[in-house]
Amino acid sequence: MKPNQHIQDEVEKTFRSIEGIERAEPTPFFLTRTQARLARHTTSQSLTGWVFRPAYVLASLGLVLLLNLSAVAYAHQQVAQYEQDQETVVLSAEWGNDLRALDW
Amino acid sequence: MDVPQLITGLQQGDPGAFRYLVERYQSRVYNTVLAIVRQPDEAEDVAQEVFVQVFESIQAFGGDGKLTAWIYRIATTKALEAYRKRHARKRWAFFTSLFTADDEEGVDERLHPVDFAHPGVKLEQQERAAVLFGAIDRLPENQKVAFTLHHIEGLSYQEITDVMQLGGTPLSLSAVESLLHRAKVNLRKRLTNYYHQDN
Repeated sequence: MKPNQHIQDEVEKTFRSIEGIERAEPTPFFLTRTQARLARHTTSQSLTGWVFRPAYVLASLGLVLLLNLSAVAYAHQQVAQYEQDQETVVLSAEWGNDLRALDW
Repeated sequence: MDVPQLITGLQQGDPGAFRYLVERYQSRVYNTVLAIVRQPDEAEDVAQEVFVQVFESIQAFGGDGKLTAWIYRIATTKALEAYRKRHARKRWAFFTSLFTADDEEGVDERLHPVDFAHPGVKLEQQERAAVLFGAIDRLPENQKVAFTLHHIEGLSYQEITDVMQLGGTPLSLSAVESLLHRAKVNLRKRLTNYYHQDN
């Protein structure tokens, strides 16, 4: 037999090797595992859904905005207080007044 | 339970309908996925994902198409995604081997090893079938899907036209015939090379 003919025979036999192939079956626990997977998926989705519900998103954003505004207001108040103190110190030094005496 | 009842049950979130869906389609889905991913554990994982996706997307299905074809479409899409993901990791792992003495065929052999034993193949044919599955693994994706659906799942050409789509449009009968013809030509070429090297 010629080598090429032999190779072609091998190829044909290999093609025929899947003739009459039967379906592969999953493990017996496939249904249970799939049901558990669906349950996990549904739970995680409902949790995610809760977090991303528009009311909660808006409330969270509002809270963050409020915190930012209060931080800015507090900083502004602190700066104003500091500037006022500095002004008092400078004036006192210029006029030679004792701050403690003024307090008294 | 007939198909319209099954679809209605799934759309209403009925656990009994989901159970029926899995029991009815598990072999078809698992067998299709296994032929593409070639690893039983991964195939089972992907097949579970297919059923979860079917359950979650059933509202979008609408019931105007063919449920079985739709499930096959999800199964082949998910199997190809899993296959691509695994091969991307493998390719990265083999990146350094390009600088070694391995030739391209050597790397290719490791990416598509001849080691898959399909449990549905007769015992005396397992060795030859593993060679064939190794060659199928290297086919372009659409040829691989068409060949798997026809030769491993036993779908007719007409049924494959319902499953396979190109840009949302079902493939024509002649397109499926052409895909299967090209798949056979490519497989013949691969197998001839394989047995040439083997001699």
